[in-house]
Amino acid sequence: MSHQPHRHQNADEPGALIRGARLYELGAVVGFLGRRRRVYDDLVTLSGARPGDRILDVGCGTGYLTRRAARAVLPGGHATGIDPSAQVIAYATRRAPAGCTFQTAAAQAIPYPDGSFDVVISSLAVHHIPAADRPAALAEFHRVLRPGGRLLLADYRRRPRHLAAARLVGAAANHAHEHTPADELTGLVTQAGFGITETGTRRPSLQFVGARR
Amino acid sequence: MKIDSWLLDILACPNCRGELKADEAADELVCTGTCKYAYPVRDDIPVLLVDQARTPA
Repeated sequence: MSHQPHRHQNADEPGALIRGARLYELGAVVGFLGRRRRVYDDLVTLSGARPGDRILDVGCGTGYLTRRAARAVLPGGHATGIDPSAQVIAYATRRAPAGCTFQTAAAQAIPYPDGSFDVVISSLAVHHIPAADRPAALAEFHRVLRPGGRLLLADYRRRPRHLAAARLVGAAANHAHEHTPADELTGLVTQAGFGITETGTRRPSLQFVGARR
Repeated sequence: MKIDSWLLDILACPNCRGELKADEAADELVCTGTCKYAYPVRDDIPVLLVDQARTPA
C-alpha cells in the first residue's frame, strides 16, 4: 500500500470518509487479529468511563467502540458517536443498542454545547483528520468536555501489520493509513490545554494518550 | 422526518452553537442562533456538517 496524500480539496472538508461500512468492518476484524473486543474494552477502561457518564466517541466509524463504551456507562449514562460519513452513521444507527446514539458530524465542528460530556474517546480517527485541522479538532474535544473531564486518544503507531487488512481498510476508507507519530499526539493534546495523565501502546499497533481537562 | 425532541434539546449548531429546531416541511434542522444555517436530514439522519449546510439568502 502506497503513501498517498489524503484527498482534501479545501479546509472545510471534514476529512477522509469511510464509504464502505461493511468492508471497513471486515478490515477492522482482520486488522486487529481477533483482539478488537479486548483492545477496545481496554481503551474504554483507560478512558475512565463509569456508569452514569456521558461519553463522546469522535470518528466512530461503524460504531464498534461506541457500543462497547455504552456498556461501560450504563446504567444512567449515554454514549454518542460522531463521524462525518453519513453512510457509516446510518449503519451504526441501525445497530445502536439502548443508551447509544450516532450523529453525522465532524471532529472540527462538534454539534454539542460546551461541557456536554464527561469523557471524550477517539480511536483510529486522528489520522483521518487533515493535519492542519487537528489542532481545531483537539480544541473542540476540550470545549465539549466538562472541566475535569477525561480524554483518551488512540491511533496507529505504525501501519497495520497485515497487508490484506491494510488494503481492506484502505479501500473502504478511500485513503492511505498513515501512522501518527507519538509526539504529534501528545503535542496536540498538550497544546489544546489538556494535562496528560497516561501514555502507552497496545498490540497489535496502537498508541494511546490519556488526559484530563 | 423523525427526530426525537430530546435529541434536538442536546444538539447545537456545529457552526455557531445555537439551538437547532426541526423544519418538518423542508426536512432540515435550522439554527435559531446567529448563523441561521439549515442542515439537511436524509433518511431521518441529520447531516450536521458545516460544509453541507444551506446558508440563509
